[in-house]
Amino acid sequence: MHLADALISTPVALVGGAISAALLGVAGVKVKKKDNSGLIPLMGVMGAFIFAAQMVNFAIPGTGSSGHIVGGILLAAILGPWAAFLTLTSVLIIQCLIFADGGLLALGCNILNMAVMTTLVAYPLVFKPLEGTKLSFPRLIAASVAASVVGLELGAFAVSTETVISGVTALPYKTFLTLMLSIHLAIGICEGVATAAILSFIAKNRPEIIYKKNHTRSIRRLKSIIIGFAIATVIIGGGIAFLASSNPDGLEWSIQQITGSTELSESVSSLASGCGEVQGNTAILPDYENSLSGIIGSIMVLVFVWALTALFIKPKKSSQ
Amino acid sequence: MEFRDQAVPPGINSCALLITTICYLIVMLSVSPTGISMLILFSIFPIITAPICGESYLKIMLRSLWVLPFILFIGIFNPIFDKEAFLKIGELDISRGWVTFASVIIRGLLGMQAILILISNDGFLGLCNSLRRLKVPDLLITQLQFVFRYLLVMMEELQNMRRARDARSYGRDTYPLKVWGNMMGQLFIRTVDRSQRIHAAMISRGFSGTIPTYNNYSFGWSYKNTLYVCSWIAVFLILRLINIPYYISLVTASHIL
Repeated sequence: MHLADALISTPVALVGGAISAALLGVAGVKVKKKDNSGLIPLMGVMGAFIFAAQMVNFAIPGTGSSGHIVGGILLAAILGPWAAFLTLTSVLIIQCLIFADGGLLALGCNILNMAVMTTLVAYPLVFKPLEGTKLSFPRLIAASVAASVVGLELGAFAVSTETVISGVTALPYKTFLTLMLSIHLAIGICEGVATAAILSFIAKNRPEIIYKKNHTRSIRRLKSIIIGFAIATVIIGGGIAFLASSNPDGLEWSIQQITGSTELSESVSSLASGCGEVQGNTAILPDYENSLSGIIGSIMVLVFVWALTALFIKPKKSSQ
Repeated sequence: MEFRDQAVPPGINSCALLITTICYLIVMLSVSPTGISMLILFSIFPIITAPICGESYLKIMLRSLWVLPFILFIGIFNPIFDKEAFLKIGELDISRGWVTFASVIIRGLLGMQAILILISNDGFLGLCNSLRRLKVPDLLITQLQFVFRYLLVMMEELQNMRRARDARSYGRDTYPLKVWGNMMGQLFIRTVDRSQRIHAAMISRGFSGTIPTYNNYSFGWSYKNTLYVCSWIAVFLILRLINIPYYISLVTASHIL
């Protein structure tokens, strides 16, 4: 589900980055408020634990294939939503920088799709109400599966929407969404069962780790999260509507000029062209003629620059 | 995974490189999906920066191919759904879908190369220092450093558990969900215990909320760094706003083709 830089346009990446940065700021304040310095090393080691857990694939019953966990709900169940959000964000940053998984500019969107949707949406809205206050294995399994499915489906929905708004794919929105949602439904169920397997083991051996929180407090927290998300939805929805309706008269013109095709499905074309317009307006000559000589010439310029740098700049050190 | 020798100063101030890389990605990704020629010219940045940061561009380019499977999955639908003729090579008509497909691949490779160069310049911990300098909250940086430091420790611990299980499973190399769940639960409990030991050790050494760093290379900022960032931004804007491929095509069409 990691979005690469290639699949996203600058405006979408910047909006995703801004929302994630704002939520990270809130998470920082929330976690610091707890005044529990033991939480910091636990968060750090849990991040490393998620990496390790992803190394061993479990067998998916009846299919002959195997999968690994993402870990959002697991982290949230143990650390609480905000600390889990910070931990999963650090995992995503390390995956991007060291394991080349996901793009740097797309990082904001990836944090939104994977960390926010699981730890700040699916956990408080689905896992917490289903989990209950006392240890019950069927409830734990149901909560894990439901929350994982909701988290991953929301993430898949966000990925499809961001890619289509970016105007990078020619795939019709409905087809793309159906494809992504059905794949992630299967992944979500596996993720949920795997999360339940680990949580059951912990609940059996160290129940205090999962069931230490005060339920009334968590309900109060739930309300503030719902209000926060309602505001975020209005802001995001409003932003997209603004982009889409910024120049309604020139819509058909811009679809033809920028995408060169009017065959895109109607629901998508208004969004995609809105962003495309912003992108197109930033260039003096946005739709220059693409020709074979232009491409060949550009490649020749590059080979020349490469040869020049190879002559004059020698790599002095090598990484270990 | 990159483990850079912290005693070697980075080729470029990592703060300056981080700012330049972000500006590069913002400008490069704003190029229209059909602008292949313009995108190709944007690889000037990785080509020039890679050797300064201590890596050959060829090595960076080969490593960036890793991103291909992810972008091919989405990009391959473009030629299928968008068949409008767009480019003519001799008698051959190339559809818009193939052009945007190529552009997705170039964007993916360039984005990945920028990340690889960034990390090879000053290593992950050096980059964390730069982020701290750029006022990213300390809590997130401490968290990043923690995860990075314990990554190998946890992986080694898991490898030991895995080896122990494999040695007793008589050739079965799959992990049924129950076995896997118990193994991960066991690892988790060890993790929690470890974090408590780490916490005690940190408190006894006067931990005040941030992990101190010894690498000071990233902290000096001189007029050269400002010049470096500004000149690259100027280059990016020129590449983006002036239709260089058009002028190149005029030259190549009249002299070569």
